[in-house]
Amino acid sequence: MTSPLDVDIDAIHRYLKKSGVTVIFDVDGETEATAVGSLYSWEPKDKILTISLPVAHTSQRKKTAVFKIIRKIHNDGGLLWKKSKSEVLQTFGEYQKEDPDQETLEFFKPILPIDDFNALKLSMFLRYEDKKGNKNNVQRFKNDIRNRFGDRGGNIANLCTAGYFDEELKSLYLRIPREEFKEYYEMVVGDKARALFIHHDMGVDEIDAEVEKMFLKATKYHMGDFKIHGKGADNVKTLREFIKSRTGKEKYKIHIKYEDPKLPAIECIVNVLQTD
Amino acid sequence: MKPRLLFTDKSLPFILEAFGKSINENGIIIESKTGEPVLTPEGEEIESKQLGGLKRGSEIFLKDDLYSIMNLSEGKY
Repeated sequence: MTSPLDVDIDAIHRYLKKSGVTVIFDVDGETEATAVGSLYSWEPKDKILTISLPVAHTSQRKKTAVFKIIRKIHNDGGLLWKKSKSEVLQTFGEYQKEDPDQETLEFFKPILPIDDFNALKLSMFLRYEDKKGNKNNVQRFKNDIRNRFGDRGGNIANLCTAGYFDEELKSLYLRIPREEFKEYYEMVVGDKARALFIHHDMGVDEIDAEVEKMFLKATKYHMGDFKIHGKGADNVKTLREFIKSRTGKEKYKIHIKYEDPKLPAIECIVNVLQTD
Repeated sequence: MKPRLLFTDKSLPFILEAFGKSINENGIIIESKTGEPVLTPEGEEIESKQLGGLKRGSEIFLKDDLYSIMNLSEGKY
């Protein structure tokens, strides 16, 4: 005699044969299906097959049957993926299809060290999400880049978001000898000598200390200027306070080059007045 | 298009059990039989909370960070 479990398993296998099915697997809580003793529910419009298994109250026979289903999906080449990260995976796929940064990435592919290039690719995606206004993802992605590629990766993300790769670095590569570019690139990416990015932990004193360090780097590299970027209401406010607190007696002069009140964001140029 | 399975965080131990894996006292995913840690294609151990998913070939365990998602999307695994 065919048991209700066998009936459910047969039905699940039939649904799995359909193209483009998403299986959602859960072991928590009661669903409409589990309330009536069924193992699954089927949503035909989006082809979603939900398998619910309250593990604590489930027989070993049922568990073994579900193990087999899971392994079959895997063996047939289907991806098993964490539900809470499915949106990121989908968004990354959409970004790849759209491929808005292809030109810049193709340009830098033969130029950059492989880790820097991978950090740049991820940073381009971060920027894409940032432009779409997905702020929650942006900080998480930046942490991912920093965890994988260290402080250097974090700097690449900041530089990429501020447009340094599309503009300054690209045009410079086309204008100067390769060795010179390499040195300049290391100065910008490795030594962070070209731009200071204000983050939320920084107060006016911290900005002051960092600007002093930037000033010394500018002196070391014989640069006439460097930039400060502030993005987000708090960072813009702190940066403005820092600018206001300047006495005019510093060895540098700051002026705002660009501001976007909508984001909000400001970009400052710091001109080095004295390099001796 | 092949079916894909999305699992909830709570169902992770069950998914791992289906493949003979479990989570040790340090939160690392291990082979249940030997206690050996499962490694990503990059040779890294995986904390259970960092697991993104599992891909065929034969069993490729992936982290859930952006780098792994990029490589997965680019078909590098």
